[in-house]
Amino acid sequence: MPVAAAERLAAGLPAPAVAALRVAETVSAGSHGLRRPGPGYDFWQFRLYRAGDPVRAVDWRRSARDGRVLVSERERDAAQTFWLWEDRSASMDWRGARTRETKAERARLLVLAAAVLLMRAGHQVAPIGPAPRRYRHERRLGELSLALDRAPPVAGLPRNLGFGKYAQALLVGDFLDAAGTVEPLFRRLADSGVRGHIVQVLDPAETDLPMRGRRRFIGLEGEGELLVRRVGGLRAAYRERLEAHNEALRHNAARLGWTLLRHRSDAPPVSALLALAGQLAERPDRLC
Amino acid sequence: MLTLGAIGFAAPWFLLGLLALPLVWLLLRITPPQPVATRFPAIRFLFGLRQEDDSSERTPPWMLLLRLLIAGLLVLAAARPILQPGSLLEGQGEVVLAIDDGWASAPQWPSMRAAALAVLDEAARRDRPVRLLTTAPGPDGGLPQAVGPFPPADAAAAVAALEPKPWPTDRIAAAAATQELGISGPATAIWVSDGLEEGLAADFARALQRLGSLDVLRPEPGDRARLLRPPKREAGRLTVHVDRADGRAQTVTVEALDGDGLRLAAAEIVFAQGETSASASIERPDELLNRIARFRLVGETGAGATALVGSDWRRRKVGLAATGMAGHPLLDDQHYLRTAFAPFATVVEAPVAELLEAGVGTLVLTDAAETRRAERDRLAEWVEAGGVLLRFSGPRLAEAGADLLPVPLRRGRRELGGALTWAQPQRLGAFSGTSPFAGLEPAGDIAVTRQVLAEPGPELPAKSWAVLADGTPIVTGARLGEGWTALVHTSANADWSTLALSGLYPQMLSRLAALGGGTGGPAGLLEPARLLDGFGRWTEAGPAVLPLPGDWTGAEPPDPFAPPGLYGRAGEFRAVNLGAALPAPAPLAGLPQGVVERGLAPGREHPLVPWLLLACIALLLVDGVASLAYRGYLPLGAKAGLAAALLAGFGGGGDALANDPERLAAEVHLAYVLTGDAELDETSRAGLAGLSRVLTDRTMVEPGAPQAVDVERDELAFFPMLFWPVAANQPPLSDRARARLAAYVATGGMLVFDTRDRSAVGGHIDMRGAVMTPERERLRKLLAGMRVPPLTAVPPDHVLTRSFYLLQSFAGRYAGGTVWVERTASSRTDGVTGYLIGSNDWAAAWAEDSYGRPMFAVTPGGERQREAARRFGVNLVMHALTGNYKADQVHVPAILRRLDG
Repeated sequence: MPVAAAERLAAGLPAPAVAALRVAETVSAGSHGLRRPGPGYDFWQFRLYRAGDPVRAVDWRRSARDGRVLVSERERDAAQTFWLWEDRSASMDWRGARTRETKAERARLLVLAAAVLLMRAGHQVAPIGPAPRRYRHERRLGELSLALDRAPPVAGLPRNLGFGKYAQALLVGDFLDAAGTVEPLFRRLADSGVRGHIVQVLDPAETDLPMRGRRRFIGLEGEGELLVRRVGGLRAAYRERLEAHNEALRHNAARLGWTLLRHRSDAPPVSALLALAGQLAERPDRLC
Repeated sequence: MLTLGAIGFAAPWFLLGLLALPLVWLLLRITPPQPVATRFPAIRFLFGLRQEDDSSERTPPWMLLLRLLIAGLLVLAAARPILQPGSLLEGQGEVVLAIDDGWASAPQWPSMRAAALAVLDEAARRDRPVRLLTTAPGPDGGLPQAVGPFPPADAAAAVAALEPKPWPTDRIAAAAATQELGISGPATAIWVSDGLEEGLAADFARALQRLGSLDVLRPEPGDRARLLRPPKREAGRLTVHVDRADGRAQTVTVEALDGDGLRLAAAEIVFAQGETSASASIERPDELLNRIARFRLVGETGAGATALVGSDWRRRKVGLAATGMAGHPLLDDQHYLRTAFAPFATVVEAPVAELLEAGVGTLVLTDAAETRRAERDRLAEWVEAGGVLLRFSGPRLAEAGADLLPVPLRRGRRELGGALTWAQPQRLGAFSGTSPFAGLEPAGDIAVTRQVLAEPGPELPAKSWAVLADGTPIVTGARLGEGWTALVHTSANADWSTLALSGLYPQMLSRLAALGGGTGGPAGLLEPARLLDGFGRWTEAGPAVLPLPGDWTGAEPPDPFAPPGLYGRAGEFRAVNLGAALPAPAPLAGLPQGVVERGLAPGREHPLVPWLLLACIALLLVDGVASLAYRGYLPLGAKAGLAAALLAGFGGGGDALANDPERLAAEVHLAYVLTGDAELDETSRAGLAGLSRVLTDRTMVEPGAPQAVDVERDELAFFPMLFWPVAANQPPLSDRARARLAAYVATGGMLVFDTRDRSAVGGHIDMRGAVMTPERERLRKLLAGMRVPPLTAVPPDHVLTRSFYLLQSFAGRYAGGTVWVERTASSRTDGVTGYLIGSNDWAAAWAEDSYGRPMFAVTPGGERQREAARRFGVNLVMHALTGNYKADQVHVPAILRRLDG
């Protein structure tokens, strides 16, 4: 991307958005839009009036100039909207080592980068929440980022989320809280008939439990405290439990026909985005 | 005081605190240190996990031990332990502390006083009263007297104020004082001795021992005082003499100082093994010797190491009988004599009677001097008592004659070389071996034109001290009683001869004046003028000092009434020296049975409290660090990093490779070779960082931070290419590094050498006609031993010219340098050239500062050239990464043509 453009973008966009653009840039080669007429918002082309066309579709101004009755066709609005959801809970704002990004930062990066990919592919994106606004162009990436900031927690989601049919949702979070987040969210979205793409972002410290010795663990969401005398002794059991939880999560997702992608925050974001792009592009029938 | 072996406790009750240690142990055991608090999102998976270590939380045993140790040390410190207590003052009763404070104590006084204070310190701890006994007479002349009993602290104040005296000890009186102590019950006696047997040391020791027990603290042999004898003076030389009590072979230096303390001369005195007395001599001109004011043993303090000289040392006193006439200086006899005597003698001009009173050693009568008959009788008495009477001739003597002459004279005089004579003026003949002038060289240009003649006689040759060339006596002399009479047969001025004008004249007068042995020092009572204290420093006279009698012989040793120093009036001093009268020092011997002899630093008590507290602090620090580590606040990485930093020092530079293969392998990194030149390395880093930014902006390649590579140590496999600026002072490679580089190239690596010398001037032409710069020579050395394939200038169709941009020039900071690549790149390495050598200083062209501004100007210049340099960099990296991928484009025109067709 030319430097000047990057600077212009950087001037108006928050830092995560710029990074997301960069990441998306890496992946976007090969993605292609749905450049064909259909129900949508944007003008696509004029064609001659055919019987059966609604009168409202006639572009009278254009027809007056030409003498023929022309109907303006709109570009097909692909899968209508990709719904974006990012876990905003306190546990996301954590990193296991000072050198890494927090899970929230990584999640935001992935959401925005995926949004860029989707928008370039002709989709629109919208954060899940009350009165969602749809975004169709990466110019609005900054606004999208701010809108994600304002999204309510799961419990605060309105009953009617306004998903259309065949809507797809990108869900990014750590999905550690089975009872508090995962189940209500899944239930709500599954009820709405949405197809979900889950990206589980975990810190390596969460997957490996690398600490040693005596520790007093403090939960980030008011879970309480736990004094562990020898962390090493718990490591195997902890990993087992986490694995079981993740397995349950995967099982849940599979049952709903959703995809699940696991991502560690020490891995390059591009790898996750590539996999995600592949999953989003899967099953084109559902995309159309 | 409680004593356990070698350790005593001054406050033993505090040891009860050790009983509390079990309680401390219990408390510490159940209060382990706080663990590290860790915020952890996945805590819900930890809840309810069974912890294998089921024992209740306890402080680890090593920490428990450490803290118990600290507590125990604190209790011990509170009990004030002392190592080796009470080595001297066992027992009960009073302590009698005898201190030698005579002259011989001065050299070792600090140690002696410290030893005495240590004894008093110990007495204070044991709360024993102290009596003090100094063995030298006091400044008031009082005999040695014991004082006390005191509390030890008061005695310590008295000892601290004590100073050695400039006179010897009086041990007999001290022994007597000991017997009058009247101590009932046992006592402990300590004698801090100067180590010399002065008087009856054994008696004194016996008297002390009778009080109870006696320990003698004395300087080590070799540290005992030495005694400097007053030097003896002869013509042109002096002899210094030193006595000592020790038998070790050693060398001491005696220096002679003038009145201002400047060193005029020095002599080394060598003592052989077992020798207690040695001397050395100093030869200097008389004028220099006359300026000496005192002698000193170098490196030793004390009155015994100092010898003063009085005015008799400096000057012989010559009396010049006054004539009562004052003529023209150059015609005046007195003037010539005064001038000639001045360098070596004090000239007193007065009537004869006064001169005799003043005690001159030599009296000079010129022709013009008149003596009355009564004076003549006294003069004769004076000469017979040892005076030297020197007469000069002149018209009066020639006509009238005189008495007190060494030889009878003929009436009249002899004239030579005058207008009415035929004879030539006579020269001086050689001096005979028996005359006082023996050894002097008669000058050839002395002419005697007039003289008085001696009556010939059988004794005349013996009395002739100097003769003319024809044998006529010119100086005659004879004994008279103890003294001498001498006559110079010519005048004292230049009237009759040129003798008074010659350099020989003062020498001859000096010899004549030296005949008078006695100088007749100042008579009457001599008031003390400047006195020495015990350390050999000037001091004021004490209360007991008496004037010195005029007939003082110097045979009695100095005492409080006549301490060493100078006595007399201004300019007329007599010196009193310790060395003049004292017997030779002898080492302390013959101590009675049962007396313990020790050095001045006997087994001293060492308070242990400071050391215990220090150990406590150190252990507390250890405990602090250990608890931090235990609680996890010192992460393993930090410890390793700390250790590595300590081990490695502060070497390296740039971002040294963090040996993290995973991180390096996760991304593409451009790398540069460290050259040892910090500035060059920084340029390389900035250059590659700039190139990385360009690559990120323009291509799919997004390199990580540039890596500094030390080819001797670091793993090279992670890097697609190594940028290697050549510095002229780069150290040569080891064989191992060469092998690694060769392997790197063979496995597809690419070495980019930049000699940066495109614009260099100078250099020399080598044998093959190539211009050699220092960088090129260095590059040649670096590559020596590596199998570099044949190189060629980049051909126009090389893949480098189109791996990303289409380029035909490879500009860097400089433009136009030839770039060399392998002629036939191996297909195994995908056509990537293993070696690329250029001279355009590319890194400088790519380098950007932290604001993205170029750091170096490019020449000939322009953004166009910088852009060209960046494009070359992009092509270079692309070539390294993609190999011959773009080489296929060679066929594109043909393919297009076929498609069209």
